[in-house]
Amino acid sequence: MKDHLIETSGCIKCGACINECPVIATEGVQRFSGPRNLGVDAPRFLPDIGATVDNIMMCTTCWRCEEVCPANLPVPEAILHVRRQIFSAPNMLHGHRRIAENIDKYRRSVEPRNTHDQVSPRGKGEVMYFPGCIGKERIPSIYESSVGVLGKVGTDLWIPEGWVCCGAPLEKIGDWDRLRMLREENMTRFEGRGEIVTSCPGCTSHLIAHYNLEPLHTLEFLYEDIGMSRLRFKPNERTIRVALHHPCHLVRTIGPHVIDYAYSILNEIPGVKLVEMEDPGACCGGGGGVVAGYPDIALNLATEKMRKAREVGAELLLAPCPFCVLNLGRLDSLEIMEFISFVNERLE
Amino acid sequence: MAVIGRATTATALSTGCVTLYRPPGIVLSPLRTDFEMLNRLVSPFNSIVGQEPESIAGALNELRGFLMPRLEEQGLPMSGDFNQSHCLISNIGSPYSCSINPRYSENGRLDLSERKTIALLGFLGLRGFDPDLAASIFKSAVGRRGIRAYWTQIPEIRERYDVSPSEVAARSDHSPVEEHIGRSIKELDEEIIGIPPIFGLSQYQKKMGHLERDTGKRIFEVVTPLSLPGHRLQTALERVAAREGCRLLKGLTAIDMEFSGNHASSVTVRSRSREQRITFSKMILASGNLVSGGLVTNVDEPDQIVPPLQADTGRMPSTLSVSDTSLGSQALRSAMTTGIRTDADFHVVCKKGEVLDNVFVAGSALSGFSLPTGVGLGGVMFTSWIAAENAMEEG
Amino acid sequence: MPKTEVLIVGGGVTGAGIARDLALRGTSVMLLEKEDFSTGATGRSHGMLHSGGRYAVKDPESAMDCAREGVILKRIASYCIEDTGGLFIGIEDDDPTYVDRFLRGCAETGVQAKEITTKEALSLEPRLSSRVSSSVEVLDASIDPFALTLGNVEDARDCGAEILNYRVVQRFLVQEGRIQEVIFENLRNGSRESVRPEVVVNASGAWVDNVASLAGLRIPMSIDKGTLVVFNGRLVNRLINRLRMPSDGDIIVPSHSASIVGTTSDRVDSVEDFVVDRSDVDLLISEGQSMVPDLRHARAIRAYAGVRPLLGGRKEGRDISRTYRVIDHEEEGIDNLVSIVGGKLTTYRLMAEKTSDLIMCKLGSAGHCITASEPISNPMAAKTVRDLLAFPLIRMNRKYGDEQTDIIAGCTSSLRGKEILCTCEEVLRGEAEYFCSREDVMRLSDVMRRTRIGMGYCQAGLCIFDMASVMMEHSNQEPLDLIGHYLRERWKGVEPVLFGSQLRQEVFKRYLYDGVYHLESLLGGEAR
Repeated sequence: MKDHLIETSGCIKCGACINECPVIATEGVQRFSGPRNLGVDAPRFLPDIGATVDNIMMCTTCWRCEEVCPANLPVPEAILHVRRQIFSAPNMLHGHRRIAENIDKYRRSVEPRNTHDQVSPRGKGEVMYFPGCIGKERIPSIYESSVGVLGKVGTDLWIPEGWVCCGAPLEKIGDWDRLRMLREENMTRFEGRGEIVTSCPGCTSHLIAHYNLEPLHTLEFLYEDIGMSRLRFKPNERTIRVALHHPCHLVRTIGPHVIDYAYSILNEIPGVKLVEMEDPGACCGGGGGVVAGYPDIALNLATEKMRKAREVGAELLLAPCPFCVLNLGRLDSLEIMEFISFVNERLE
Repeated sequence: MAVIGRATTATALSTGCVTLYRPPGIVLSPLRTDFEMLNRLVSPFNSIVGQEPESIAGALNELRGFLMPRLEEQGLPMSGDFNQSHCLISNIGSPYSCSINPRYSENGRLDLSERKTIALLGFLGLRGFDPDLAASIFKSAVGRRGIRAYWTQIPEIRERYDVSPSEVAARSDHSPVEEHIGRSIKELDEEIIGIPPIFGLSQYQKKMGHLERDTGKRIFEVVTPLSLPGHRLQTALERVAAREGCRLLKGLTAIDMEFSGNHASSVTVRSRSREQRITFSKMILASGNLVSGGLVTNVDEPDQIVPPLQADTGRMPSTLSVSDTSLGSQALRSAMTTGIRTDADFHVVCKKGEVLDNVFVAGSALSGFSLPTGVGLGGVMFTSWIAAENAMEEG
Repeated sequence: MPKTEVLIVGGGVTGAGIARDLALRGTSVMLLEKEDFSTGATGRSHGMLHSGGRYAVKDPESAMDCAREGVILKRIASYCIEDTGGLFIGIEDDDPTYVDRFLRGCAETGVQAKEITTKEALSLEPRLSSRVSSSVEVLDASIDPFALTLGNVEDARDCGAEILNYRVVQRFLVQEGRIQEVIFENLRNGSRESVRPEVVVNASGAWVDNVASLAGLRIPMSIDKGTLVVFNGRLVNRLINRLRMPSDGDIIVPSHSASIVGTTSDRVDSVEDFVVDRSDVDLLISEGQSMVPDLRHARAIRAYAGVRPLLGGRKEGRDISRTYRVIDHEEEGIDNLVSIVGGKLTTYRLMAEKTSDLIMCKLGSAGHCITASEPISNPMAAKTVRDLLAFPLIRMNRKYGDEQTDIIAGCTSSLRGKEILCTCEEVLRGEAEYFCSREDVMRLSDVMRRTRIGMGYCQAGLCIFDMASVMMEHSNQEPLDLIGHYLRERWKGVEPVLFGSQLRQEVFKRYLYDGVYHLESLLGGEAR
């Protein structure tokens, strides 16, 4: 296990993380003490870290603190480590307990609501597509369009039967018993084969860090493996003003190149007028278990994001992340769509 | 052209001011003439600009001429004249001197013989500025009467505390903060009013200007490190770069460099989960110093991030080495003068002695450029100018 | 001229303990401390509540005292004690016969000790070296020496004692074999004051000889310097001791947010020789690493040295007994002077008891010692307060005993009291305000000792200005003077650990202090 105490001991108190934390910005330090306090300072008082329970679950794990840290300290991981250390099944937040119950009952982080039969690729292919809980159970268009797009470009897909939640939300709530259980179950179903693609940055990141696999996000797969030249888009007379949200886990835990790919693809789609909103990388509030644990905070951040999009006259907000789409979609202020869904609509 | 780097830089943490040259005979005797010190310590700098104040002035004028109009275009009007001998006030009240500063700090450039009265206005709940402390320190440092401290509350941070200036800046985008502040300022008798920085780049000129017109007083921003002014300068510079055609890739760390002979071909960069190789024809390393993450300390000594490169302790006596930390403040001096080894034209020199003809170093990554001589960003900006010119010149 | 029954010279834990003991017995007491309380050996100690194991083999008398007093202190001073427990561990190359001698010594001196397996030790303390060959569990604990001393001071004051800091004793007027008058200077304003005591107690620790000489007497002392290094973070949960004959770098103590590695033992000539040698720092780190290898990568934030006042004699350093002596100078011709010499933090209460018993005799007063049962401060459960997060509250609970109620009230009622002043140690502005308004507090380091502001890894990097800002509201001193004094004091502890992350931290502070704030110039070039 990583030594988080030693790894965060390089802090020089520049305060950059505090200035950039989106949750502090909306809630204030009197409610959320912030990345430095939770990830760097409190863990030094090992017997007292339990006292962080009143606010540590408010962190959305947007990863901005590590990004802006001059020493690149692994603050988000340190915060997740504290969550792990203080995890206590009887004392879970109400929303987090629901996640655990969903895992126990359905092996999904969310309650399955989608009762439609969904497309299922036939045959055992070269490339494994890992659907992820949101895409399958809550926003079926994500699942359908991912499979659709990959099919359109001629990818030979297979989906592991009986796959379960990747476990990323469990890491966020600190429940490592369930995290390990899910990992074990999935690994047997993955059959140790081939390339892996997933539409969710959370799944991608988690499979890399905890399963030691090398999945690609659908955007990476499209851009790197398929290539722009094989993407043919339908002509479109009508222009639509589109803003692109940069999902935190996509840009910061996978890499900034992925959003570059998204821009490249958007540039090729006829009828798309790209409008750039202020601070497109600002967290939407969808991550870290905050939607379940502190829905008001998630809503505050989502509202702020939508305001920025409307301010530049966007008619459509795209986000290459199911959790972002889910959280932002709770507001009715602007049309929000997952990126691959949009690509699927426009692809020939 | 691409700029790759970390999201926080020394610039973003700085005061947003640039000191290029401080003339001798300055009114405030405790402040040294730092330029002389730089000249003595740093050889590449020396050899390029020579010893003559006039040639320095000439080169610096070019830099100013390039930079200032472009920053103004981004909403960050800068002013200043490096021949003046006045001083600004920092957020703790110490006198601060620089050559180029954001225009509204300029308003606080005080001629100490002036008879005008000054007030410092703090906002309850805002972190980082205590006008009582600042007034007291300024008085004891400079011996000036007529500087008073006041507090006020503004609705944007009512009921809260430890609010960071960036948060207020974000709020001030859609809230008339300047009107609330203006009301408090109008109640004051003093003619020159200092406030902490609370406006981001997009609002800076508009709101500060509004304050001045609305109150009829000279409003200035105290010089504050680790806060908005540096952030503004960083953002403005990024936008200038983008405007000039640069691509900015944030969140990537350089971990290795590939070269053969004296020519480098590519750099390997890493994000959290992926590695990529970026090829280039020329590279300028402006990776910063020990503090800003360009160099790292292992247990005993600073080291460089990118393996082929060599740390250089700069112009220190040969008996001193970086790991000789038993020498107390000498250890600090070594750490502050350590940089990446270069030759006189800022070409990088590798561990095994190869001089790379297409890789340059600029800024505080150069050895000797990080001494806290109060020169701030001036020296480092200047080296970027020189490095870039060298890079373009050499085919 | 003011009179007092007992005048105590020295405001370390011993002097404060005597003041409390006597005050609880109804005696009128005045105490004079030349600096701030616990700035001598007390404040430079390791913060250990000894189980006695360390002395079980070589110094059985001290071991017995420690074993008994440890139990008592955990009862009466639990507010400032973290009952962590301790381990004695032998590493592969250590003397294998020592374990048996150790266990035997513990049994003979009443020190509770239980041998455990290496596997058990490693599961209790995962950072221990895998080269552990023997382990014994003991009842060590971590104690805050500042809070302990201040608790005694406040309790003594509650019983009517007059306890004054920044008062330097200058002269004893001796007549007819008695100290008639004591003249002292008030460092706050330079004024000269005097008092007529019936009995004088010399509890000045390493300075006992200096004070005794004011009465024309000498006390042969062996001044022994010990160096300690403070590391960022609690690397261990218990006190870790080396299972071998007492030597250098034997002990690691978890204390609040830090791990303190110590100590060394060197005879020095002067009681003011507090300079830390870098070679001592290196030695401590290397010895410490044998027990906890992670010390190699941990961040050293500060080093400090203190002088141990040991009874003089023919022996040296670690061979001198750590026990104490109460000296009645009547035999040497001064009827009303008593000195208390030697001893340890762990046995301070016992030392105070014995000294006070003698004093009561001299005064001809009746009154028994009740300090073994009377709590110094009442421990309380951490509170929940509506406007404050739990973390600062639990920190206050660890630091302040029953005073925390008033302090918390101050934080929530003052305008800026809830602001976080020191982020490393989670100290609120209201805590600083509470202490700055006290007469005792004159300097920034006085605030630091009472609140832990500035004791974290940034070593008061930015909070130094906030401290000065709070102090300004309660004092006429110039902020620059306050800041300069504090920086100069702290530099002694900063300089020896200028490597690794702390070097980077100090470089950063230099950019701020010198590059932006020009502090060095403003302070007249004396910031270090």
